Amino acid sequence: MACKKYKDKIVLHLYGELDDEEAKKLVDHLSRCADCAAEHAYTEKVFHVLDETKTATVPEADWEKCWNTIDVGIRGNERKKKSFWLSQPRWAYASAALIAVFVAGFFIGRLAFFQSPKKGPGLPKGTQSAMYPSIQEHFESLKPVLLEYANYTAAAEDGTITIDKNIVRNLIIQNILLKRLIADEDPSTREILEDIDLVLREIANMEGDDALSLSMIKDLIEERDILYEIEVAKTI
Amino acid sequence: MIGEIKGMMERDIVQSAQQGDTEAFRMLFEQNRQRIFSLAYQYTKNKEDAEDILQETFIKTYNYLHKYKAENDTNFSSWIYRIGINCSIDFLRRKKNKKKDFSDWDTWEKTIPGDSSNPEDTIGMEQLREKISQLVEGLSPRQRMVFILKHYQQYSIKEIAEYLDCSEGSVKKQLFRAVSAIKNPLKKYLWEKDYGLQKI
Repeated sequence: MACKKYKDKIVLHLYGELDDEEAKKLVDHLSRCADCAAEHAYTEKVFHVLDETKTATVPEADWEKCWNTIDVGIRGNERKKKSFWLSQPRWAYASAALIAVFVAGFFIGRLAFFQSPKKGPGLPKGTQSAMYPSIQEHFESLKPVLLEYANYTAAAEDGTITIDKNIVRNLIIQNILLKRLIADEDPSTREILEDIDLVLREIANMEGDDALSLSMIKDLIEERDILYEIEVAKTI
Repeated sequence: MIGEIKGMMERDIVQSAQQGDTEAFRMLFEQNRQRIFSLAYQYTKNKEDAEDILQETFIKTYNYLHKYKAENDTNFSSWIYRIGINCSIDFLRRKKNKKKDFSDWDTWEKTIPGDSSNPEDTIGMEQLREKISQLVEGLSPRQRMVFILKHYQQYSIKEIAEYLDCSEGSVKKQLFRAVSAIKNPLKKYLWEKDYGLQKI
């Protein structure tokens, strides 16, 4: 058990990331434990090999070509923004504002008082971006559930997780709805929602709280980096 | 002092770019392009991919430039570097749909000259380099980024946690997994043949 603890610290020690006290403890242990000393030596050798085999030079990029692409990209966005706003008559702004208020009210109401998974009439095109605050909210409500499973350890006091299946079902419905509304507008968010869908369904279909199923769900969350994906989606 | 002046100049340039001055934005591109391209190249090991990431990073930066506030946020270079990191991870995720087939690892094992009965055989450096590249490619996009930032870009765990917006514990865990995923498959060859270390 002690060796496991020290073996985990070998990598950090080689990167100089242990504080003095931790480093001293590790060095003491290495002087007494042949297994850990061998592991330390081997890891150090691997680091040398990694440095030796490192690609020495980064090639020169074609800066001009890159800038031209960027320039076209940002000018294209500018033009799109300008041409859209300049070409609209005043009555269009008023109508757009009215529609926006209506659509926002519709979705806020639907998400806040979600009762029925019945298929809605669908969103008019171009209003999907109004969904982003709802997506953030959805991610926030998912986090405690996902964290519960991600932090699961069989050795914990009771070794089980108690989560109301109704909450999970509601989250599934919310997830499906958002996935449908986002459609192909934002493929990366859609991908995250699909991964979440998979995990939620596993949780909802789980029979009993056996350690194997719980570990499987934990692995699924880790494999697909779902918590991280959610964080990344929140940054930009 | 020089750092302060540089910071003030950068702030002015960013402000001009925020007001739509494309020339100012080009200056920001010239100041930051090498750092982001190097990271993207080390991450993808492919010049074209690294150029794509660079372009995506700057287009995204331009679109979100109005959100950057010099007083509240970190300096612009760190801000854009963070966007570069996220673009790199996203790029790899998209590419990862065509999942890497690692069955060639077995083939490689068979093509290594000689077998374990001949301890004098060594793996060629080129072959080893290629294999390490494949092992790094086999890491998840996030593990790979943590490994590149730590091992090759030599950022501290604290800095990496800030760039990736996660805890230091999470970075340590990802780093440990990444190093294990690289070193364990190499054990058989480095351990017994090249380094003559005693087996655990």
